[in-house]
Amino acid sequence: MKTLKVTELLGTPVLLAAEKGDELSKHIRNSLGLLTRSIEVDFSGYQFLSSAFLNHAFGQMCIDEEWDVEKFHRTIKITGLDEDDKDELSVALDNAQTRLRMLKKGIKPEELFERIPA
Amino acid sequence: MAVVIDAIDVVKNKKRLPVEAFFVDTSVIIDYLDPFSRSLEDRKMAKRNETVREVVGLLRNMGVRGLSTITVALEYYKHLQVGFYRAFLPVSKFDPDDFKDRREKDPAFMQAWEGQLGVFKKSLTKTFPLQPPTIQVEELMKVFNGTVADFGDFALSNDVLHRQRDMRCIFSNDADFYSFPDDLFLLTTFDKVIKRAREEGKLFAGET
Repeated sequence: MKTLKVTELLGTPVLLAAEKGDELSKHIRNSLGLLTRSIEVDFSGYQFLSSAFLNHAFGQMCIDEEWDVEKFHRTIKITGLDEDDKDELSVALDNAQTRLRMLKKGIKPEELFERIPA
Repeated sequence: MAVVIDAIDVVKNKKRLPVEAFFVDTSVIIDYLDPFSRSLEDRKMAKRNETVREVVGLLRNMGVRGLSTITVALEYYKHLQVGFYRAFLPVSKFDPDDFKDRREKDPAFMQAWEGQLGVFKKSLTKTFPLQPPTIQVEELMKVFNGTVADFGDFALSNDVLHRQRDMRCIFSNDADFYSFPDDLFLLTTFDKVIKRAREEGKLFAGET
C-alpha cells in the first residue's frame, strides 16, 4: 500500500489552515486510481491540527465522492494521529454524511447553520 | 474596563502573560471545535478555527492552561444538542421529545451523537478542564440587569472574578467582556476590541 507522509508532503508539522487540508486532499485524489484502490495517510510528526484541516482534507472528499464512513476507511488508512484527533476525524466524517443528506434534500448547509444560535 | 491581551501578539512574540490560566467562553469552544464542520462552507469559520487552535496550542506550550466553567459547558451543550439534531435530520426546528426518542432508538443518530459527546467530554476534561464553580449566586442575581451583557457571560465573569488573581482571564471575542472590571483580563483576537483598548490605554503590553 502506498503511503503519503503528511508533514513531508505539506512541508510543515502545523496542520491548521483549511488550504493545507485542500492540498492534502488533492495529493490523495491524485494518488488514488485504477491500480491504487487504497492508500495510507501517515500523520506522524505533526504538531498542531485543526478541525478545518480535517474537514477540508477528508470531509469534503467524502461529500464529493459520496463515500460513507466504511468506504472512507476501506480507501484511506489513517496512521500517526493521536487518540483525541482520531475522535475529531470521526466527527468530521459523520458531519460529511450529514452534509450529503442535506444536499440530497436540496438544503444548503450554510442556510441551515445560519439559524442555529451560538 | 477589563485589561485586554492581544492573543496573537502574545503567542507570536512569546510574551509572558500576567496570568497562569484563562477561561474560555462558549463562542471560543464553538470556534475551537467547529462541531458541525461549518468550516467546509464558511471561510471565516475556518479562519477562526485555525486561529483559536493556534493560540490555544501555543499558549499550552508556554505553560498557560485553558479552563472552562459549568455555565459555559451548559451553554455549549445546548448549542451542540440543537445544532446536531437540526443538522442530522435535517430540519429547521428542534423537537426535544423527538431528540430523546432518537438518542435511544435510532442507531445512526445514536452513533453520530455518541461521537459528538465523546469530543464534548474530552474537550471539557482535557483541552479545557472544567473547574469547580466559584459563582456567588446572591451577588450575581443582585447585580445582573441584562443591559451590559448576556446572563451566560455575566455568570462566567462572576465565576472568574472570584478566583485567584492569576486565573482572572477570559478568552473571548465578545466585546461585552471589555466593559467588565479592571480586575479581569480579556484575552482576545478581536481587532476592534484590541484597537479600542490600545486607544484607551487598556492594552496589556507585556514582556518577551
